[in-house]
Amino acid sequence: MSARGWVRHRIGTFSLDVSWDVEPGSVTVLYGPSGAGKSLTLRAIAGLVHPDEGNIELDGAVVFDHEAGLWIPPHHRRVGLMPQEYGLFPHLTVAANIAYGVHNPDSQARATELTRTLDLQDLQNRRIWELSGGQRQRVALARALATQPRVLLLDEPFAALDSELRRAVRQEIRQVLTASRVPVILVTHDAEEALALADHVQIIDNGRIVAQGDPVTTLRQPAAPRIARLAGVENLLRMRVAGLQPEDGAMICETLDDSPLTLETPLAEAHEGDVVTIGIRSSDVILASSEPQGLSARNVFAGTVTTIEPRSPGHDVTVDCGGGLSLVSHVTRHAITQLGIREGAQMWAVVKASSCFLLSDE
Amino acid sequence: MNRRTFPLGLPPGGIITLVYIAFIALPLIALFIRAISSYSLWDSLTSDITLTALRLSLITSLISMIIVVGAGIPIARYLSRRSGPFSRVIDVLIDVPLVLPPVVAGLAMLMAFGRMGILGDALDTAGIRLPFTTAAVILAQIFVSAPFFIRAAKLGFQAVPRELEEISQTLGISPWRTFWRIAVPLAWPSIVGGLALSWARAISEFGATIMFAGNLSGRTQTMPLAILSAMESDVGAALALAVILVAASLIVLFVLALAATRAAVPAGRLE
Amino acid sequence: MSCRIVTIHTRHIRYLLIMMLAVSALAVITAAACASDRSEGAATLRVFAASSLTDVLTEVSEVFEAENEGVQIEMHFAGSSRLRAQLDEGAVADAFISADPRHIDAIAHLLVDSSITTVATNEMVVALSDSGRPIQSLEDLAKPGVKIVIALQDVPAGRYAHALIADMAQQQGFPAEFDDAVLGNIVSEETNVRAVLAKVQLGEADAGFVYQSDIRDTGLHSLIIPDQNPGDIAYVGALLRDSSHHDTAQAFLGFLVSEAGQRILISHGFLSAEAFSINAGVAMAATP
Repeated sequence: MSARGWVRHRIGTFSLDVSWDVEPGSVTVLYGPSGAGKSLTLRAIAGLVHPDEGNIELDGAVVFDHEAGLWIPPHHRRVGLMPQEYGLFPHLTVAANIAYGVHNPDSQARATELTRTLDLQDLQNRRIWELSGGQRQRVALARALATQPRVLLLDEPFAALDSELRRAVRQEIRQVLTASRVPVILVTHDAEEALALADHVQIIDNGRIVAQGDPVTTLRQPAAPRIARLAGVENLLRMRVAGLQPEDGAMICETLDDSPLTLETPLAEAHEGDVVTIGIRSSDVILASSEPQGLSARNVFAGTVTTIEPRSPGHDVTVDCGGGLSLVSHVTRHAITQLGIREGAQMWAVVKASSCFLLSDE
Repeated sequence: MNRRTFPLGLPPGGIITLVYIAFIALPLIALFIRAISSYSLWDSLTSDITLTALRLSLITSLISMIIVVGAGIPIARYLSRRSGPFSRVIDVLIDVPLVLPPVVAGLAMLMAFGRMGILGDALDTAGIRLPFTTAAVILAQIFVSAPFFIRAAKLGFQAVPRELEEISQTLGISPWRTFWRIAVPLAWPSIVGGLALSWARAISEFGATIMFAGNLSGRTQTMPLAILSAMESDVGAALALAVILVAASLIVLFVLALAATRAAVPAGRLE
Repeated sequence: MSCRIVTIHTRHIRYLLIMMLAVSALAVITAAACASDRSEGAATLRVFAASSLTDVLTEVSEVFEAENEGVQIEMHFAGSSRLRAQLDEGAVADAFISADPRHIDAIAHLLVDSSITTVATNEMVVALSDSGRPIQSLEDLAKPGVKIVIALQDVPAGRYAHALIADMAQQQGFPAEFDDAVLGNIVSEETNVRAVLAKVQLGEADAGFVYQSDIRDTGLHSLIIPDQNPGDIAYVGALLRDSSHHDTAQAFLGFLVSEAGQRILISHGFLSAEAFSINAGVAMAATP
């Protein structure tokens, strides 16, 4: 069982042009900012949108072929769609929600099994508004899988949960997905979620797939600044290559306004004097309240805290290191109290050379 | 001084509500008292004229409601899914009978479907004569009462999240069955509420009926017409008819209110 | 603590004061509205009159107002029986002019006996619609499919019509079961004679039983019903005992039977009151 296809669709000035190929039991994550066309792609696969062009194949059966004039309506496609707010039916009990699309003994058995696996037995007679966010999510998942879909489409499945719960249920969901042997397409704008769940990542921006591949390479060290910005790489530094050290596998970069600050990065294909963009994730920047001694990390900068902004699950602290160099570090609330981080405080920012990656310019 | 104290423990709104309730209830109570103290009440209640008018009212309003609901649900559904200038014009047109004096409605129906009306010749050729028939009573009732139902049902359908119907389809349920399994149950309180209002309007319809259908016992004389006719001779009979009409209306409204409270989803739970 | 109680107390009083003020303001406005309704100027007469008198009495009252400075006449037209019922229920009026002496009898206890006067008489005709199937004679009323509109049997025009239909059936030249056939052709019983006329004018009904005075200005064709007793259809006026303008009201009734008043009535197709006075039998019925 696999899902593959491509669609082109135009709505006003926005145009979507995407393709996908998902193996059974694997999760492909569509990652991108809101308005990129991720949900539209899911709706096209489900048959809720009739694309201008394209071809959609589910488990070997073509459900949409523009050229052949073939279009199978949603209720004959056997897709499982789970929208952001889950779309549970408020007039039905949990059990009736799960059994909503069940129409044969096979899927009846599947519904019973899912009710057990997802730990929903005790909730069967509850109404939807009596459930917590996590319970609702499990009901929606059970309902979608009970009809034995040929592809499972999850639209921001964790967006309605708070961040603590999000982490806790992620692993559980991942297991259910893998066990179901259904190809899964999951939409998210959260890089962490994409990393945790994806077998394969496709980054969508403005209706186009701008990058794809395995999650770590694609998201952790994105190959272009534009993707990096999408992928949540908070530090994007414009620097000039000052020297190459091939024997150490390192490269020294300096600031563009000729301050004495330098940054050591892994060696990349660049020439002395080239202006490059270097990406550093904020979670890779360490803060210290006193000057650190005896560190293996190559880059240590003294600076002043300029802003502290909450960003779940911690805070983004911006440290101005002078010479036009500002670094954003993601730290926990706990660290803020313990280190006495406040605006105007003196801090040291520490970055391992290997956490820096060169981004190719577009 | 956060808590304010009011005489009778009621805020101004409460007092005014009490006065208003008294204003509505007093005439009805007076009607019942006068009717009960009339020695001929029982005779009037069981007289031929009364029973004939009651039967005609119930039958015509029932047929009207079947047509109003049958046509109104698809119309309401269609309008709930449209937006733009065209549908706004349609919205206004649908509401026109609400602001039209019923007598004008009756006159307008005569101008259209009467013997001298625009469609008069065509209907006559087809052997259809509407004025002074029971069918005319039903048409008049539909004309004045349908907007109440369509309005309410439209709002009900609009409140049903479209996403739920889409999900239902992805679960293998056809759009037609989705409509019955999702949209109708979720819009149920609005549908029943609209039906109650619409029925109340139909059963009390007078002006358009006497204009378009005339007044003949057993054929076109519904309860309100019978009440007015009885006023010409015997106030006691008019009172008896009025009491029956009020009682029948209360019973129907009560039953419909019960049906509406058995809604699938409590208010505010439909996000 | 004591301060708190005092504060609440003042609030209480202020609140009650405002409510009382509002209620009394309402009462004053209502009273003023009622007062202006009744006693503006020297005399405002309220006259309840049968709906068939609508046109003629409007003209009469204009003439009367012009001749009597300070007098205003407020006409209230409806079916006689409804007017009678309203008076019976306590409606306030100075004079009542019924299209049927019976309604005068029915509320005689509310009326000034000596004031009961016949002001005009009338005759019934069958008004024919322009569009209707050709009705050439009264006999044609019995043809199947003819649509006849009539006033309710409880209003004078309906009662007279029913009586005339029964009379005709007894006469020679009319088919057997004439009355049943005509009654079977009735498609609607209107609550007043004007509504009957409207249905005929609109062309929805082929024929309607109305007063001769009704069709005067309509241009409708009509069939005359022969052998009506002159004075059978009498408009009878009377003063209400509770009237606060007895003299003016009496003068108004007097004007109606005066030469000037009768001339206006006749010009609207009514027959004079004298046509009736020949027939003393019914006059007795009007004064029990």
